[in-house]
Amino acid sequence: MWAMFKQSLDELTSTTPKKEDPVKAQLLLMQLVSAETLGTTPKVEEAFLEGSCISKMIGSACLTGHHLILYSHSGDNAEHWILHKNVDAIDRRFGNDKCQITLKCKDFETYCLTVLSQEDATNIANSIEVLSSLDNINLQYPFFYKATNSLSESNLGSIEEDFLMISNVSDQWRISEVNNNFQICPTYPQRIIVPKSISDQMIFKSSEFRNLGRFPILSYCHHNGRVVMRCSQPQIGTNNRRCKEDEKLINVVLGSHHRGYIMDTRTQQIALQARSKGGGTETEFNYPQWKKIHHNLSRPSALYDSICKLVEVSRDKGCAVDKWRSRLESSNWLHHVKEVLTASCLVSQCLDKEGASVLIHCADGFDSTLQITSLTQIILNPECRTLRGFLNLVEKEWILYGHPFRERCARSVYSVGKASRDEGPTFLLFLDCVHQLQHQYPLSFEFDGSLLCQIARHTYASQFGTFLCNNELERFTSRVRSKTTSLWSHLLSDDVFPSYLNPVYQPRSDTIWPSVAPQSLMLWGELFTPFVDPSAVTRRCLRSNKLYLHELRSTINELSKEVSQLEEQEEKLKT
Amino acid sequence: MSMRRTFKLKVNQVLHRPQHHNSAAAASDHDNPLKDIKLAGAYEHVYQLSPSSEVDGLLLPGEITVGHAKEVISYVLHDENRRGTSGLLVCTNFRLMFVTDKPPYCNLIAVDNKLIGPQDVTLSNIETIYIEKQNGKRKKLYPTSRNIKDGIQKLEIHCKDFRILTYSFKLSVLGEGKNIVRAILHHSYPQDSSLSFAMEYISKKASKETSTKEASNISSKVVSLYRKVDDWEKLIMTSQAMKGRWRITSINETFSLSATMPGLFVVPSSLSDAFLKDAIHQYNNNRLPIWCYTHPNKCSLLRSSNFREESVQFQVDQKIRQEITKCDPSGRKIRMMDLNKMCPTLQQVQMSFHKLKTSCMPANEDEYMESDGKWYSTLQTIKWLQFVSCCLEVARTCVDHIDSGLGTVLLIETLGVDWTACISCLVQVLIDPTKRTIDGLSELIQREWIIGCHPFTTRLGILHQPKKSSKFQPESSTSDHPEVCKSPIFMVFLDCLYQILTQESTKVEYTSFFLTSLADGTRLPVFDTFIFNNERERNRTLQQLNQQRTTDIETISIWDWDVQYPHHVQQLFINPLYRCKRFHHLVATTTPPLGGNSIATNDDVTSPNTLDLTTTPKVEKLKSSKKSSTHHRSASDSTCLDTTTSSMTSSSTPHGHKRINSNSYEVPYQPPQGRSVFYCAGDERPDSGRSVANSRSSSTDNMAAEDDEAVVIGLVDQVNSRAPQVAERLRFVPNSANNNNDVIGCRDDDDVMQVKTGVQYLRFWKFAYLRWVSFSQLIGGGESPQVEQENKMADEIVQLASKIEHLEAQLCNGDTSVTSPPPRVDDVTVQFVSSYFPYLAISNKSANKSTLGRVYNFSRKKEGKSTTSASAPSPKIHHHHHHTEGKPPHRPAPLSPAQVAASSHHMVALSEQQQTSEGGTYNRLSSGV
Repeated sequence: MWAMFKQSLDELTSTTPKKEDPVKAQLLLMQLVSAETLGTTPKVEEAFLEGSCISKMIGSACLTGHHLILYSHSGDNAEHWILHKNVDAIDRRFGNDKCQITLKCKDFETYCLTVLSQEDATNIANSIEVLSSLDNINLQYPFFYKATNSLSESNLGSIEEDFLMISNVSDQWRISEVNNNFQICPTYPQRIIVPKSISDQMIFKSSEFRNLGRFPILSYCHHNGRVVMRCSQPQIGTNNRRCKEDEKLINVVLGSHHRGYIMDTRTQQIALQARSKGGGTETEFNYPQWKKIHHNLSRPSALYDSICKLVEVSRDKGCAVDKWRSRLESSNWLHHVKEVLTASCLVSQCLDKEGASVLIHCADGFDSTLQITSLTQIILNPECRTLRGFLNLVEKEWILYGHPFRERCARSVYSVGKASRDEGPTFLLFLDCVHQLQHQYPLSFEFDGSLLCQIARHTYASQFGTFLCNNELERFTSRVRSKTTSLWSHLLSDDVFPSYLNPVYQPRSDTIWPSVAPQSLMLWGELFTPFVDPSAVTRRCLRSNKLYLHELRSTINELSKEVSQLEEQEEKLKT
Repeated sequence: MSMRRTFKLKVNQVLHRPQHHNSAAAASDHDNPLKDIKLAGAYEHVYQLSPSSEVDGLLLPGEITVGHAKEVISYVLHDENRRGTSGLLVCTNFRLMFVTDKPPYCNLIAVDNKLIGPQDVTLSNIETIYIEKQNGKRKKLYPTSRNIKDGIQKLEIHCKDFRILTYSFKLSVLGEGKNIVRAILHHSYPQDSSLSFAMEYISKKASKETSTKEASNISSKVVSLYRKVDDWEKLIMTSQAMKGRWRITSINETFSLSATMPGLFVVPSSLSDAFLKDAIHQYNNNRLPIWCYTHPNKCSLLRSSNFREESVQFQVDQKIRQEITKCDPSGRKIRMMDLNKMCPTLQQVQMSFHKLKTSCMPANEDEYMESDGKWYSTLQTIKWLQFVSCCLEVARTCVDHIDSGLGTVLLIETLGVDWTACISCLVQVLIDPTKRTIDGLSELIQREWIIGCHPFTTRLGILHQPKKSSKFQPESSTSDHPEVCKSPIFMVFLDCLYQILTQESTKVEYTSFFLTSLADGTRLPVFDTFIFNNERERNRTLQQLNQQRTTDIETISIWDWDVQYPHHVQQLFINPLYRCKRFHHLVATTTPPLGGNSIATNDDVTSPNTLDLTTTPKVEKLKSSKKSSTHHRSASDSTCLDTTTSSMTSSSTPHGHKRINSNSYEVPYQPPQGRSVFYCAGDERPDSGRSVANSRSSSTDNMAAEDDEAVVIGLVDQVNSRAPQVAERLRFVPNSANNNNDVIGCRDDDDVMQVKTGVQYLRFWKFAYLRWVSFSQLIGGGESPQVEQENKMADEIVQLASKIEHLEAQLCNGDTSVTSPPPRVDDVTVQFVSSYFPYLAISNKSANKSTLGRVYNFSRKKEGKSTTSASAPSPKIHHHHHHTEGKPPHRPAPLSPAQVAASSHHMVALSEQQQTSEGGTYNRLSSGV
């Protein structure tokens, strides 16, 4: 067994000098995973790989600690890597002369690996099964991945930068160290921005009153000084608890003359029922300056069911022509998109048109709450529609403020039944909403749709550590930030980001009001049906359109350069 | 650039346009809203005094007023607050015209149409008329309705282009409403095409105007109408694959043999006229198989009607097929495609279109929003997209067959005038790059649909057929017989073209706007293009007309876009992504598809027709911006254009003719033979190339034009030659381990287009079907602004190129006195272009509301129920809002100061416009109402 491994390792080291240090990875895995479960077939000489997104490959399959790699025999040195972590479900179909293993991936792609020996097939399948569901965070691929290209220092989500922006608008805020060592809220970062007139003691009190300690905290400060804040539900419970500090904390944001809105993303009924479990929702009586809005948004588990149906439809190539659209409709995904956009529109309207501040929460405050806060910023703030601004927004809202990526993205659409209740594509829904905005306002975004697709894929399986943990505390304990590479620094590096730029970007300084009419919402073809939707189907064609626009852009640049050179020459001539 | 600038001005004008006939002063004072209001007040009296004389100046030649009503309120489209403008409603024999001097609240069309104003609608566009009595009863009027009484409160007109117009007679004198409704009803449903307005128009116009035609038509080339032998000859003589095998026959020149066949058509050479005369009656509808297209691989496409079932002369059909087979030297078998089986029936299409219309004409915003949950299933039950998909699929099957050289395809259909036209056009667009240009497509439509005798009058329901009430109840229609059935096959065809455009936008020259202009053209009875069922009908009608009048009259075809649109609007026909390639294609269209014989080429190039080519808009611009033209780019200068220096050498001939040697690198975007004839001819065929140069440099003007064009082409070449490098640069797709290696490849334009035909791939053509639904538009979003932006980029390149030329000229000559080119003027800010531009124009108010869409709606709906829950924030919002702003309920919020500021100086006209209606006009009106 060891000898076989050794042999394949030797080959690996000789053929793949890049991406990971396979020896180290393999050794580590050998130590940590018992040899029995790993199986005994690290390498198969003759294998076929077919996939929905690749042409058929014939070659040798090789199993490493984190990848299934297929080297093509056809002489073009083609190779295809499938990250184990990306495998969502495995189907085995063993016949007499050949054995098929279907790998259903979390990015909705499927691959079919065919080998001749049944023993090999069983071993490979078993190994992938084990390796794809390793729980130990230290064994995850990002901890082994070494970036080959030069990375940029991303420095996204920096609180100083944020604070500087806010100080331009209002001087009512300060940076607090109250959450040092995550003592009052594990799902918030250590340094936070709080109102100046509120002491750390009061914040501590408020956090005790809120579910999971997620006290009301600043999310966005509009140019008119009005703010969006987010938190979790108050723990009012059956005996009507109240918390003066919490009331003070949010009232001080309003000032004395203004009114604000509290948006609860549950129905009124559900919010009231939550009291029996110790939760609840703010009462008008205790928060007289605030007006309640209930806008029901679906819980992650409902979204999970929806996306499963959606992917089933969109990947069903044999679907009857007459049924396709009604099946799409019955998946309800676009309905969810519409609801989230509507809620965000409403909040933006309150802020921009009414001049009222808004406090948003759901039960925990890290699912639908984050969708709304981030979309509101995209609608209102042109800065968030730039490439860097958008990544910054994702880092700030979703990563730092504790969207539980590990729980939500552990499984994907192909493991129906196996997925836990915590599973849910909340973040994906957010990306889809951004895609809708992008589709409706093609000129207003500095980045293009493929960036969103990339990010979506990386949330499920990635060589980068960005989406690894549930919250900052976990990241802190596992030292994710120091030991892994960030997706942002990859995306922002000089040789990568130009390919994500929108060639027809035209910065505009105002809000973009999305249309939520059903006629305006589109299925996100590039992600869900990469070979079906016209916007991406003729992928080559689409690319060439984009290429063409890029060409035009670069021609413009070069010509302007020439013009300025000539003008200089002329100036000299004159003088 | 000049186009962009004029465009800005035009928007300005259009905003105030309705009628600037009042006085020159009014027109020049448009910038001052206050003055406008004053004028508006003053003119109210004028109208009351003499409406007819006011209107006279606006009428087209031959147009006469048949009824009018004063003080009519025209309501804003889809506005629940019933805001409107009062003015004069005039019914003429051509259109229903609304005349007002007040700035409109919402601008319906930004397009500057020379024939109809933004608030006008042609009578042939009117589909259904509803009236509302004082007691609130709504009644639908039929062409036969006689009993129209006084007391009409409201008039609602549903148009064939999905638009809804509403007028109120609340303020008018009793009886005026009745009169005008009677007039509209009487004139809207003509029963004979000789009564069409086009006849009046052309006869009057011919006598009035002699030849003031400016050469600003977007297609500088005259579109062949295929009514003369020359046009057909050009078509078949230039093709090597057709030579000697096909001939033009004129047996039907007088239409005595067949009413539904063209006067001229192409058949296998081996079939004699005598035989054809005999055979023609053996086919349904008297339509022989006629030639449509021949691929360079010598496979052809033909169309015909069914062979008569009762005919006993089978050998006739067989003989014809044999001869067709012989036209293919390889003798491949003919494939018959029975479109009766492959395509939906005419009735199905009509029903589907009717449903489509219903779902795209929501009565109000609520109805539109309520389609929410069921939009996709509605779309499915409408079946429209399924039909479009079906057509594309059939076309693709044909294309595959022909392109892979399996043999000739013969399209067969009962009548041979509906789907055969649609499919044969689509096949040719997909297979032949020259048919993807605006000129090529226009000629194709002219040949297959108009000359091919598609019964437009019947299919579009232009004429009222009294016996069958098919016009009003398409579902229960008894007129199932295909000969009299109404069915928008042409619209299906246009939708197919739109799908091709969305999928392969770099490969087609037309835009969505071009397609909708064609669709609208069918309802504009000024042109002789879409008002007849066949050529015989056209001929007879014109003969009658000629007999009545002494002078010969000249018809106007829709391809003469000058009649309809000014130059800057015609520019919107051109797809910017295609534009840079336009030069190649202009050349390509005049050259034989496969190199051809050099004599023909030579003739082509030197004919006056093609000399016009050089005065394409781009070049005109260059020409105007640069007076001195006979200089040459020096080698040192070209080093600035890095990558191509080595491969691009420029030299000058004694005639100032510039040759660009392009053989040393590959040009990915360009059909090689086209340019090789035009520019590299010298390299390959010195004689013809030289003669081209000689003939061109005979006049300095031509030389200048050519020089400029060469520069632009050089520019395009640079872009093209850079393509691989850019591709190289962008090929690096950041790989996560599981992201595989995509293949990026740019195919040549020459390729057969591969369209995806499945329903999933198709898009709903919002631009055509929803363009009048004001609340579905996005300001600064949607496809139109993107097209605008791309246009801007293309403009910029040309601008820069001309600037470089200019600077170089100064440096070379050392002459600094040459006036510099005009500085670039920014056009209308793209973000204020609506998604339905150039239709529903910018109206910031409606923008505010519509784009909020559901949110606004959500709040308003809850308002009624607000007692039940505290869940609705918006009653509060709106109350608060109205309170502070002091405005009547439900008015959308005005622009915030920041937004207004953001709109910047480009939109001065607009914001002023807005203030106008905000302040004076609107309040006055609403109180008046």
